[in-house]
Amino acid sequence: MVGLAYVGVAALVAGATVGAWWSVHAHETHVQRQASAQRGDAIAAALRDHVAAKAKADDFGAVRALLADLAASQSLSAARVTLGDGTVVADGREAASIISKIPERWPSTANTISDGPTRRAVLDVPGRGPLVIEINAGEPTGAMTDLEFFILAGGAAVVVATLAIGLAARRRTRSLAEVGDALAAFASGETDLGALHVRETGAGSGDAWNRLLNELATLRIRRRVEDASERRTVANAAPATDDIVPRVADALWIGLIGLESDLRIRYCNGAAGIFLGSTRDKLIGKAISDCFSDPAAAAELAKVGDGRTRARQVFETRVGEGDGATVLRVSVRGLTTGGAMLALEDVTQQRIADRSRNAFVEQATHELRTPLTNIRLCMEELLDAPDLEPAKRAQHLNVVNQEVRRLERIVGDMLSISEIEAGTLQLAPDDVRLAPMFEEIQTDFTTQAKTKNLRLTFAMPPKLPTMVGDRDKLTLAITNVLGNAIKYTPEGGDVTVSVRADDKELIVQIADTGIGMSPEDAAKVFERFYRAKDPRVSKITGTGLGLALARDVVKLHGGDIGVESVKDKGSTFTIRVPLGAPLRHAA
Amino acid sequence: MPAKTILVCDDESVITFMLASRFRELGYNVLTGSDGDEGFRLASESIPAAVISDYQMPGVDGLHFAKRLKQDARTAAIPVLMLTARGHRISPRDLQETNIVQVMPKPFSAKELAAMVLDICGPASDERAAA
Repeated sequence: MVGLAYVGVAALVAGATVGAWWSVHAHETHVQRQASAQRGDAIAAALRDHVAAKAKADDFGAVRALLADLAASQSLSAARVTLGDGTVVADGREAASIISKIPERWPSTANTISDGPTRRAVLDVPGRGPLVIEINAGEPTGAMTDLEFFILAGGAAVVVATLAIGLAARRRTRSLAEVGDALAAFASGETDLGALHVRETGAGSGDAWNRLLNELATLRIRRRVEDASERRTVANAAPATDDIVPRVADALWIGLIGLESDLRIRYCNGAAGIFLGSTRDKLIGKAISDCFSDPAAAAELAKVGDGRTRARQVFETRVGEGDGATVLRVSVRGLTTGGAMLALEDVTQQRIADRSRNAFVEQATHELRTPLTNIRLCMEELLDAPDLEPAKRAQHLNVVNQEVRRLERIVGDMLSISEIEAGTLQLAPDDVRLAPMFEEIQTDFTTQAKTKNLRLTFAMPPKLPTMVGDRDKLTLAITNVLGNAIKYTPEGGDVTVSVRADDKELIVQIADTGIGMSPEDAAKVFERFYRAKDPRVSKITGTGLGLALARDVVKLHGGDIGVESVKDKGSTFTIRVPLGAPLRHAA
Repeated sequence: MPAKTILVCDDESVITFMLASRFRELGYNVLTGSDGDEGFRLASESIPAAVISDYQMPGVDGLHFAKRLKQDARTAAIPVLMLTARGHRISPRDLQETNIVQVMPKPFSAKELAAMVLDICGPASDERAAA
């Protein structure tokens, strides 16, 4: 499902890109055609007097020479002079047969109206008949402009990146699902380790699970060898009387319950007691239906009791109230000797992760749709009004350009988070000159702050050192924090970026007079997908990834990020990154 | 007969700018707001022929804006076109409490939106209709 959502997003981006390219291409072609026609008209008009004078003097040789020269120097597709009846008397491209003898008089029967790229001018040779000058300055080349190339290349990059994230997310989800199935099979009594292996090993979880099984298999073999050895050496020892099964069952993190035929609890392990919020002593003898407050769970359990099924039934139910509720996956299987066994697994964290992922996909879709809407509106206007005045046309193309960059940033954030989750994000460390980096950040945000009527101040020392780090990722971390400060500070407020560095570390403080946070929100603000409970926050778009990404990038640099905040007063984020040793470059 | 007024409310300035240009070209008077509070103030001052509002806006969102319009006798009859970037549907109960006549998912076509406004409240002025 996650993979499909990404494919949908990729399709949306691809559609918008092709639409954008097509409208720009159509517009460029239209403009080139108009320019060609205007050039053809101008050349035909300029020739008119000259041709009239030469024709009057019956000097068609001079006309032919002029046309040949003009066709070559101006790269014309066609340049010819015809008599009024269509007979060609001069052709700059020498493509048509030319009559050698010009008649004394000729009729007027040929086409004299300009038609598409072919422009015509008519003049009259007194006493003989009309002459038609035909000029074709050429068709549009259809070559791709820089803007078209930029749109297609940018769109393709966004589509590829989106599909890559989708693929990574899909592999990860599948891998986790297979591990979950294997655990369920294990809970149902499957002991063949070969059957518990998973095929999908993407994103590390499947690999780790398979390694665990291999180690378990090794332990089993070693144990068998030790047992055999022990039996040989202690031949007279008494047989083992301690029953290992209850102890193993108590160590298990999955709750196990054995039911009698009347569905009363005969046995339960420690985990089952914890999940059901009781103790083993109190649970033994209790009807299982009394252990779940959810009526749907009781109905599922009743099916086992009336003998309707012996197949494994799986359902989920909530135990407990409110935020502290636990989601249990319950597997039930009837026993051949009567009664049934239950396996209880705590899937609360999985369900929370599912909810977060769904919320993220929904939010990301919103974030992507907004720039797509802006692109579509501008493109529609460009398409509907090919004669749009140049300033307005440039303004629309500028919006398209900015929105494509916005899409790139969103997809870049998603890709970085996906890489961090998969453990594949790597820094590309190099010498980072801090002064120009902060100058760029200041330039990027000045307009944004001005639009929102905020005072944005950069307090920088006269000199900043060069540090070792990944410039792009550091910029991403700082702009995510600064972007948030601007987003959550109401109009008329202040945002101050203070930068300083000592011998060891770079310290960046970003302070705002925004809406601030409660201590509970401040404690969780760097968690992925977390968004503060403040209703003012939920009204502003955001993925809940920006600060998580900033924290991950700062940590990868060996640094730290923190926040001090007072609700309704503002927040101050502090980023500390070690400067590291400057890289040595080969001479 | 003065031209009809359309109120466009969205926190995305590109969208309000583009829609305002489009409807002004069609002869309508256009007012723009960036959140539900501003939208409601403008609507109660000038009683527009139709309101086009985004769903998700800072402060008072599009749904609450539409509910406030319906609650006030002066603005209760104004038809509302809701733009939404989210894939969700507005519940029938919420719809009943508003005068939302159409929901358009983003990205949308300005041409289609203009055609809907024409359907809902007619041309910009009666002179245009006669012409």
